[in-house]
Amino acid sequence: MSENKTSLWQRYLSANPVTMSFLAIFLGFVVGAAVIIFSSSDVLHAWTQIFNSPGAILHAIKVTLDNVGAAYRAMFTGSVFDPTILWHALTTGQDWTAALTPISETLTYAAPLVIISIGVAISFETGLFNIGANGQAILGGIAGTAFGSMIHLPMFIHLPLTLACGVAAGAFYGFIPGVLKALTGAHEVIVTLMLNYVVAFFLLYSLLSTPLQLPGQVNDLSRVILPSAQLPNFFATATTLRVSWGILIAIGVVAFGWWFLNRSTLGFDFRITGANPNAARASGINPKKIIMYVFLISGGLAGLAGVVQVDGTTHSLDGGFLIGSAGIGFTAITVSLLGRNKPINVFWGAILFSALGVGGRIMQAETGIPLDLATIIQSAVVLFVATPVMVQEIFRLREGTLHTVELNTKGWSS
Amino acid sequence: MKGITRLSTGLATASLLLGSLTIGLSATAASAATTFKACVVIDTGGINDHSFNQSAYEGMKAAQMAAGGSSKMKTSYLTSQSSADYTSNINTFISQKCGIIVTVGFNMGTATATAAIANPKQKFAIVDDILTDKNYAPLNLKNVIELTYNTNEDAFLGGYYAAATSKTGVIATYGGMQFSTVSIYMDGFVAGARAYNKASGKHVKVLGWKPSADTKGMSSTAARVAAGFPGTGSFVGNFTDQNAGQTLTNTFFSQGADVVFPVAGGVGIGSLTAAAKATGKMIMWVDVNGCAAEAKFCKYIDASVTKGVKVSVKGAILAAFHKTFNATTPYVGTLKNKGAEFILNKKVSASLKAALNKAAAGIKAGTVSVNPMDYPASTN
Repeated sequence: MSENKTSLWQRYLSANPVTMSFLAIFLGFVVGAAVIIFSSSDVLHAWTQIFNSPGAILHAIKVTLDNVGAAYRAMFTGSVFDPTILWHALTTGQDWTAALTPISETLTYAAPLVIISIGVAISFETGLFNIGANGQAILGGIAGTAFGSMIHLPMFIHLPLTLACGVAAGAFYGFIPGVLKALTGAHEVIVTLMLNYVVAFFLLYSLLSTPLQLPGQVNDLSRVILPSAQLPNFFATATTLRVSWGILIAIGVVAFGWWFLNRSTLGFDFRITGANPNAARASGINPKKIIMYVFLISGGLAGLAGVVQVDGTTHSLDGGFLIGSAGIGFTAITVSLLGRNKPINVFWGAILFSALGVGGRIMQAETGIPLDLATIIQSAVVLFVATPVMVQEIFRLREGTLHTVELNTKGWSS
Repeated sequence: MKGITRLSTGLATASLLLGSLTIGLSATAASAATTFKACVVIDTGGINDHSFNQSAYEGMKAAQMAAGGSSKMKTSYLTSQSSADYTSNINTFISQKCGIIVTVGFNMGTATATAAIANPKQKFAIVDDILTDKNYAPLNLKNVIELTYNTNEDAFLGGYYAAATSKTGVIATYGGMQFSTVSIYMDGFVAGARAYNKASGKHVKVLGWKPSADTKGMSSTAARVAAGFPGTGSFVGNFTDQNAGQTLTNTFFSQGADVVFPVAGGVGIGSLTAAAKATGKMIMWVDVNGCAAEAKFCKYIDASVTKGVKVSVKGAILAAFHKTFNATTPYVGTLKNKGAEFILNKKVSASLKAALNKAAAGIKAGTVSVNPMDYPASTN
C-alpha cells in the first residue's frame, strides 16, 4: 500500500493542518483550566483537605470540575448560545432576543476583526509586516465619521461613500510606509509602528477641535454618524442585538481575500514575492510595485475595519477608539498567525477570538474569574499553533501527508 | 500503538472537560438564587488605577461588607477594554439581573442613558456625570442616581492652605484636560487663595488658572456651574503623560511657585518627581489621599483634595440594597457629607488650623462662597 492510501481515521490522526488547529485550541483550553484550578482558592482549599476524610478526594474533584465547568459553561453560553434559553425560544417562540444575544455580540466584535485580519494576512503572505493596521483603522474610522456625520446625502449613496472614505483613508495611511519602503528602503516595521502614534494624537486633536467634536461638548467625543450613513442593524427590531450588516461585509472581504490570493494574477505575484523575493524579481515581478500594492490593499482593508467598527457599532468616536488593549490591529496579527494567512482559516480564527472575548466577559460577571483568562487561552492557542512540532509530540501524531510545517511569515525583512 | 495510547489520554482529558461542563451546568443552574447583586462597570483604567475606578471598586466592596458579606450581597465588576465595551458590559449586567449597576465616569454617560431608558426597572448609578439628552437638557431619569461632587469646596480649603503656607508668595495649579470636572477643582483652589489674601492682606499669586465670566458676562455661582467653570489656564492635554507634568511643574517652580496642585490623575506623578528633585517644593494631591496612593512620595504631599467616589458608590449600592433607592434627589458630595474631603498630611500651626476649620464651617453653612469671582482678584 502506498503512503497516501491510508484510512480516513488515520488521516485524522496524522498531523494535517485541521487536526493540528483543533488540537492547539484544545490545548489552549487545557492551559486555561490549569490556570483556573491554580488561581481558585476554593479548588486549592479542597485539595489540601483530601487526606482528612475518605470521601474528600471525590469532593475535591467535584469542586475542581464545578469551577472549571462553570467558567467554560459561562464562556460558551455567553458567546454562542444558552441551551436552556434557546430551547425555550424554540418551543415557545418567545424570547428570541435573549437566545440570539450571545452570538450577536460575538459577530459584532468579529466583523471588524475579520476584515483587518485579512488585510494583515495579505501583507504577511507577501513577507511584509504591517504592524500599523491599528493606526490605519483609526484613520479610516475618523474619515468615515467625518463624512458620515457632517455631509447630508440619501442613504443609498451616503452609506457606500462613508465606507469608501474609510477605505481611502486607510489605504492612504498604508501607502506612506509602502512608498517609503519601496523608494528609500525604510523598514516597514519601524515606520508603521511609529505612524500608529501619529494617528493616536491626530485622533485626540480631531476630537477636541471644531469640525469633528460634538458641538457643545468639552469632552473628547465626536459627532454622531447620521442615520443615513449608519450600517443598519441586522435585526432591525430588537435593540440589544447589536450585530450589523458589517458582518456581511466581513464575509465579503473573506471571499475577496480568498479570490485575491488564490485566483488573481496580482495575488499570485504577491505570494511569489513572499515565498522568494529573488526568484520573483528574476521572473520579472517588480518588487517596488508589489510593496506599494500590498500596503495599499492591507491599509485599505484596515481602514474598512475601522469604519465598520464605528459605523456599525459605536456610531461615534471617543478618545479610546481602538486604543490600548482593544487595538484590533494587534489582535489581527495573532489572528492571521492562527489562520496561517489563509483567509477562510483567518475568518474562523477571528470568530474564535471574538467569542473568547465576549464569553470571557460573561464568565467574569457570573463566576468572578477575570476576563484575562480569555487572553491567556488566546495566547496559549497561538503558542500551540506556532509550535506544531510540540503539538505533534504531545499527541504522538504521524507525519502529515501534507507538508504542514511551513513558515507563516518571512521574518522582519524581505 | 504508542500513538493510540497518547491519543486516548487526550480523549480522556477531553471527556473530563466535557463532563465538567455538564456538571458545572447543573451546579450553576441550581445556585441561581435571588441574592442581591451589586455590579460595577469599570472604565479602561482598570481597578488599580489609583483613582476613580479603584475608588468605585472599593466602594462596592465596602457596601458588601456593610451589607453582611458575600452571603447577603454578591458583587461583580467588568473592566472595559475600550469604549465599544460600555454598552456590552451594561447589557451583560442587565441580563445578570443586578440589583444596581454602577457606571464610572462621563464617558459612559450615553451608554448608561440609553440602557436606563430601555430598562426603566433596572437601577443605575453613574459617577461624576449628569445624564443629558442631545440638547444637553438633563434627563432626570427615575432609575439613575447621579453621583456628583462639589470638589470646589475642599479645593477652596486647599487653596487657602497653599496660600497660607507658601514662602515665596506664588502657588500654581494645572489640569489634565479642560473638563468641568477638572476646572471645578482649579476654581475652588483660586477662590481659597483669594480668600486668604482678603483675610490676611497678603498678595499670594496663583499661576495656571484664571477664572473668567461666561459668554454672557455672568459670573454668579449658578452661572459658573452652568457654564462648566469657564476660564483659561494650563492643561497638559491628557491624564497620562507624566513627563509633561514634570516639565510644567518645573516651569511653575522657575516662576517662583512653591506649592503646585495638579488636577490631572497620573500626570501628577510627574509633579511629585519634580518636587523630589527640587528643594522646598510641595505638591497637593487630587481625587484620593496622596499619601495612601503614592506612598513613596508622601513627604512631598502636604495635603490632598479628595472626591468621595468610594463613599458615594457605597451609599448608592446600599440604598438599592435596603430598598431606599431614590433618584429624584441626586447625590452631591460636599464637605458636609464627606463626599468632598480635604485631608492634611502635615502638622500645621494652630492658627492656620483654626482658620481652615472656620472656613470649612462657613462653607458647610453656606456663608463662605467658593466662587473665585466673589473675591477681589487684584493680585492675580
